[in-house]
Amino acid sequence: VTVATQQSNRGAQRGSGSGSLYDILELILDKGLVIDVFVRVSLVGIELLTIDARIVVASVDTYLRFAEACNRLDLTRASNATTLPDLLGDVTEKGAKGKTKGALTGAAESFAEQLKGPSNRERDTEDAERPRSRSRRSSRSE
Amino acid sequence: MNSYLYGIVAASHPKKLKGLRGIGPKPASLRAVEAGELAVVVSDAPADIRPKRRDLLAHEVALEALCEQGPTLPMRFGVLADDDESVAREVSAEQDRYRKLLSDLHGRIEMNVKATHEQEAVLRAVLTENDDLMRSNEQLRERGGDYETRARFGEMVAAAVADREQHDAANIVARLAPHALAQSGGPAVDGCFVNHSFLVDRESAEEFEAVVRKVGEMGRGYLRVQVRGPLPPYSFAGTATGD
Repeated sequence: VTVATQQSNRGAQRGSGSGSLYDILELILDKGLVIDVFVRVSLVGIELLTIDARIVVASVDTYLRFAEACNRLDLTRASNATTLPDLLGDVTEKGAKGKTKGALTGAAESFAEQLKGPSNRERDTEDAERPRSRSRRSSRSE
Repeated sequence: MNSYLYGIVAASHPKKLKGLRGIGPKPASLRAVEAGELAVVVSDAPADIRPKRRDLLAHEVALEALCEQGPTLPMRFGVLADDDESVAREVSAEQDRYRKLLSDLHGRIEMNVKATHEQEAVLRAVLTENDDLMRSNEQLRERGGDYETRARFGEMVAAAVADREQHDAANIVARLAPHALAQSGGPAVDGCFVNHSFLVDRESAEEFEAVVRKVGEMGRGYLRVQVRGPLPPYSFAGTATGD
């Protein structure tokens, strides 16, 4: 969750690889074939980049920001907004995990399994770290 | 001089390397090193390789060009060998595996999908589907609360959002997976609750993109979905997980 307010209302964006290097940086740096006997250039910046996104500790500051963001919400628009997740999801009630299971393909389930792994930690990313790691990342790729 | 590796191709790949520029301050020219029934596209490695935009872009652009010409196993950025001889030796030693991977990739490209939630919309959604959270929010708003109460409330909201991210991610992937030949979860990326790559036939790339766009339309105002491609099949160059 990005706690900074996002203005854009675009539904889907597109771009080809080279036109938007930033958006696929992690694929070039983390995926692709590696041959064990060959050296992979030791790049301090790259190591930081991959660690940034993965090892993030949930902090009280993050929680306070969540609380503030909720307090600021104009919930009179709620009825309009809650229909949106319904459009996308099969099940939106709380505790829907059991039901969701039946509706998903095996592939999606294994994806959900992956989400229980390392990327779980990423969810509670401390808000303040994002802009910082972003700028670090972009400055590295200049 | 060290050799910098871009990708592995079949010996029959056209390998039109003229005009392609490699990494380095003075873009290195690319050459093909024979390795059994394969060829490895390499260039001289500059003395100091950094993950700079220039070199990352050179790596990516060279691979895009190679992939357009024919099946290519893309290397991760930054792989160096002592020299061309060791490239030929090590790659031909594993050529059965690489040839199998190449044949799996024939005519196929990677499409990468990332999704983010619109923050206000997702918060509104988790509050409206949870009476306790809604009540706590109202109380905090009307009467305020001490540090601990606010932090505890925020923690519960964060957990609810995380549940929703997991649910929505599974849902999005489930909608896209039937339109792809294989899929691979990508590394965690700041702010994105979905970073997932799909292997699709090159000629189906636009169709796949249209499906992603449709998901984006369905979630308009609630989430944003972004699709990048056709890309070199980075996520399917080693441990492709078919389904």
